[in-house]
Amino acid sequence: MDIEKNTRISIEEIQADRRLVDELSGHGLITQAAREHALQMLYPHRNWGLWVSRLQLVAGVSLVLAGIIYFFAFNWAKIGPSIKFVSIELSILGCLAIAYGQGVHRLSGKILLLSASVLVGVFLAVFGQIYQTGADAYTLFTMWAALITGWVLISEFAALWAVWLIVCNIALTLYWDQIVQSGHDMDMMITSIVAVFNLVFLGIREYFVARGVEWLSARWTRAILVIPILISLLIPTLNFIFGSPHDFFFDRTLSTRIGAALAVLVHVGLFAAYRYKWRDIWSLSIVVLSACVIAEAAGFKCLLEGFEHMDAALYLLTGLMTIGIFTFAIVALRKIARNMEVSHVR
Amino acid sequence: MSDNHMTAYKARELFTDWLSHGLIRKDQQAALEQFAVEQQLARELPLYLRVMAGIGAFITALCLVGFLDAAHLISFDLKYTLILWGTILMGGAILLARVSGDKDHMIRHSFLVQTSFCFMGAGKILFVMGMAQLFKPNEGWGIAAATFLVTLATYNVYRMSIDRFLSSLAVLVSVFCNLMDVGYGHVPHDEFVIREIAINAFFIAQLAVASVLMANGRIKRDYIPLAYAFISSLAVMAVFFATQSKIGFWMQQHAFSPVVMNVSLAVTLVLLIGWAAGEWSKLYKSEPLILACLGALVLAAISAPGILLAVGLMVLGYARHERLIVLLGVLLFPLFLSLYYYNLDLSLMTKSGVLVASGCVLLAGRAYMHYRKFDQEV
Repeated sequence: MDIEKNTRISIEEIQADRRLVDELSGHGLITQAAREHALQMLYPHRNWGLWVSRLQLVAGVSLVLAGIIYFFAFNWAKIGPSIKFVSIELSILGCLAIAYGQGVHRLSGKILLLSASVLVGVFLAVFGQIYQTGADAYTLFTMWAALITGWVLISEFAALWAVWLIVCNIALTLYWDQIVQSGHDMDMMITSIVAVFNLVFLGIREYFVARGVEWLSARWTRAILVIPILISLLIPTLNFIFGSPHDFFFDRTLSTRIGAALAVLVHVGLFAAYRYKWRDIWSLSIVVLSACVIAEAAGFKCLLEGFEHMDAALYLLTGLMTIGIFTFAIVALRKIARNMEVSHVR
Repeated sequence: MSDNHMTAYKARELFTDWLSHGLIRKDQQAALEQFAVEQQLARELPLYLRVMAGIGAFITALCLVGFLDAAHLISFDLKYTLILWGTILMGGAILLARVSGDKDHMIRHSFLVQTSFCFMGAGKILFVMGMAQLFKPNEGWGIAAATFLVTLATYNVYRMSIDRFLSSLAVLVSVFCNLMDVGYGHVPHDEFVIREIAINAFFIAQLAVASVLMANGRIKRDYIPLAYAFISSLAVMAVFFATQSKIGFWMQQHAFSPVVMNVSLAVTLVLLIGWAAGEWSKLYKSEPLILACLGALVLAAISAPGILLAVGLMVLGYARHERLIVLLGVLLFPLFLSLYYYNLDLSLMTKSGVLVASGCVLLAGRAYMHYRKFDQEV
């Protein structure tokens, strides 16, 4: 199964890449001159320069920022409040000024805007510490997210959008924990809320990408939303499956029931979306894997109840069930992938 | 970065370009095209399916071992029974893989292959457990010998890349663990010296094998999982020595010098840069490559083997267009960078200066590259 026999491939479809050139060279089918010519044609050496230059920029900025943080950590007690504020504010202004000078369309400008956004969080933390406002932590993250929203929009930088989403998720979770303080029955509701929140932004992401917004089109920007959505729904679903009225941790409360129902809807919805609308086999396989885990848990629960004191039968049937579930999933995904390829070629 | 891995050319365009430049003859083109098609025929399944198959097989293998134990068909104390069952299951796995045939889109085929993968996993677990008992009191070397034996026996007959990768990695990691295990109680100084030599030799050997497997075009695709296993094992060793500077237990610890690892990684990185450039003479003729090599030597001088490895992986992955290797390098780079600065025996104040200074050096390097127009995309 690991090696796919593909009899439909034609020479027009084969990508020319380094591996092909190396294999031709390794088998003595081309000369060294042909190999050099091909490598220069396929991967012009100047792209290496661009790659190294970007690596230097990211690593250099990270090291400088880390150095600044170390400096504050070491001298924290000795630095007066005004100097703390002024230095952080100057750093933010410096980042913004250079980003403005460079232009936010350039990578260096985007990274400086990202640095400024991180420093806003540092500023808020220092503010809370010096003035001992006693405010809940969620306010810090909410303010942070609110203050950098404008930069997220103008920077058109996926990494900053990811940071913003992380800050928002933390704010939401802390708000639930510190302000709502739900009872036992609604304890699990936060997982559904987080899932819905991320689902909304996944929808926004897909809407704009479909309309040609380039900066959000990288596949990882989809994955960082799909995976948390599925994980946050998996928690109440597994609680629902293994739940019993007498168990405190695995209790079928109202919130777990809502979460489980939402999980079914979301799995079906995401499957349909990535199967038919925005064809993406990777996202589809994540959804299918999550569904396999749920099916596996549900099946195991049934077997556990049916074969309570028959360990051998329980293990054997669980094994067979697992093979069945995963085989079905793999076959289905392979068929879908093939259909997607065919329709893509057409 | 992902887009950088794709080229804008198809194989036929490349062959036509060679032809127009007189680098191949007209009668050669058909043979080259046939070769390219044949290489594509045995295409690896996508990673997402391999991961899914692996997860399913792992759960099933555990269930199978649980079943054998619950049904009293095996006992974890009876070594020969474990070895026997392990061998039977591995044999069954190979048989099932053969029986499954090539109609890979049939449910029957997928079911048999999935079952075969599970049998192989369970078989290897039982065989290794039995062999470990057979080697008592040297269970560690028993595990290494058993994993080596089963990997050797199944690598060429059981063509499942995830199995090949995991088995090979298990051999390498178990050897490393055994080399690290100097035992409790009083250990003579000579023993530590021998261990240090052995660990360094093991590291260099892995580096050499990984380099040959990745850089030599004559190596069959079947050995790519082996190459990945060697690379992963190198990463495991580098992570270990980035967090630990000693070998041995408790009071019997002995300082481990990373000098040999540093030098070997720096030499490998320089060779890698030359290989990626496509011509060795560029190493001393091309200004950017000279600067890159100097950078590698500076990293070796400041003793940063982990960073050298991460950079090496990124260069290798970028050159070979292996996204997984680039990803590994990208993930390891910040880890090793943080560990390096964390482990520096300096006060926070000095560290902050070192961090800012090294960051400025990198930014100055970027500014220089921009000034010399080395960073312009073609």
